[in-house]
Amino acid sequence: MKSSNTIISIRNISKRFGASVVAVDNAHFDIAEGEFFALLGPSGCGKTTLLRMLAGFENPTEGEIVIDGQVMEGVDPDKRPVNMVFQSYAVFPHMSVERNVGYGLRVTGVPADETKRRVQEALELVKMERFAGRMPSQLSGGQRQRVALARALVKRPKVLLLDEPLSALDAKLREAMQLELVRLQQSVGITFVIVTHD
Amino acid sequence: MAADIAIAGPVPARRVARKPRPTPLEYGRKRWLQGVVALNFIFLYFPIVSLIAFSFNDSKRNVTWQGFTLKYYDQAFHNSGLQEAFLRSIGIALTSTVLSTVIGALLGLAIYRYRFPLKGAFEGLIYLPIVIPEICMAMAMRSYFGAMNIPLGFLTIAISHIAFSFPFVAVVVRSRMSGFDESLEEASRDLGANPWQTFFNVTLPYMTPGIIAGALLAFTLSLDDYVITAFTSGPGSTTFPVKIYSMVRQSVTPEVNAASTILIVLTLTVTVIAMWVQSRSGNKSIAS
Repeated sequence: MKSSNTIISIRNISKRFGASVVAVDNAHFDIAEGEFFALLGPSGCGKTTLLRMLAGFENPTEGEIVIDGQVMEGVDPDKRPVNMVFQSYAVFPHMSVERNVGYGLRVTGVPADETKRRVQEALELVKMERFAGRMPSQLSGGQRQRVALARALVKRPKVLLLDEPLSALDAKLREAMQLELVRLQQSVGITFVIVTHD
Repeated sequence: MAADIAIAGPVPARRVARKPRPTPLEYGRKRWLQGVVALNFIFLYFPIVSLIAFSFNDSKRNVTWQGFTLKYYDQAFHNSGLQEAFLRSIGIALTSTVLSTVIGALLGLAIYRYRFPLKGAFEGLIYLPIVIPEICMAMAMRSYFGAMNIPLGFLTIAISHIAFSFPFVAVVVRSRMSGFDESLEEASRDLGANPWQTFFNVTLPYMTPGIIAGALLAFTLSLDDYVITAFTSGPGSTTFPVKIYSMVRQSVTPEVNAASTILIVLTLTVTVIAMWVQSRSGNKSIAS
């Protein structure tokens, strides 16, 4: 915890699917800027739902989410100052590593030369610069995850959301990646919200 | 223990040396099975092969082999009625392919994506043109156009072809989408793309192999359709298959063989491309 400024404020959030399923029940907490915030708990306890509400893929049934001083109600996922690393990584299979990482900049009209420079930086950050021209099918699971990380970080989000980023990796790689994530978080200074069960 | 190991060594080697009994469907080692396969191939392909062979036969009748000639191809190419019918067929096939591909692809995507009331019944109805006897659909189309006072011709043929082609496209696209990872679309939105950018950059590229395969299918279906076309074509709007049949009714000349061979080659080419595209996309989705 480097700073005490609140970046995310979750105010009495509840999420119900239908009449009977309560995914999140009255969650209420703040996340400070620069924090490495872990949502822990057994699977099926609503962590991922909470993360998806932060990203804007689900709307809370009750309560409100404030990110960086802005109420998020009615704000689409593409307009939020957060980016997400998906559990399945969701690396675009028909684009090279380089084009994957640059995607978020291209669709928002960032100039080509700036895109190129920032993609290069992001790939260096996750040590994937040698694989820039590869297709996702030629990468290992761990490498794909790095691409997903670089693709999110290149957007310079206020908050990076990670949905069980370690679950698809084997035990040995998981430990290394855990340390890697902490190192990365310290070097970029972005708030990380990570869902995990270990 | 040591003795066990000593014995265990040579035993597998002996097993390998002895030939195992052939399993009931082991094709390579059963003569009679090979014979059955050969008979099947003859049954299926002899008529086609003889049709093609006799198109090169230097005789007016398809009975005895008289010598090699290309003159019936020459005749076919210079038969203005046949040529006109061929071009009309291509025109109808292209029109039908473009429209049924667009409609079918959107339909396939919609069935994959959305849940709505009576979806099951709706899906069943979509497949109706695939399972309905062609003659019924032909009759229905004809009486409909008659009731609506639409003159039979290019337009009515094209509409009928679209009607029976687009469900095939929808089925192919729908099955392609079943392997789609929806978090790809979410990732695209998350990275700042709006819904249209997401569709064109992420969803559509994934659909493309299915769309191409569906389009080629629609093209061949339209190109060689006879029954529905015969019912919905008017005077002066004969298509290639209908024209060939009317020529056969007069007499089976090698010119008909030549024209049919051209149609076979064309359909075969498109089908092979469709299969190639599908198998390639299948491999790719396994790899990724």
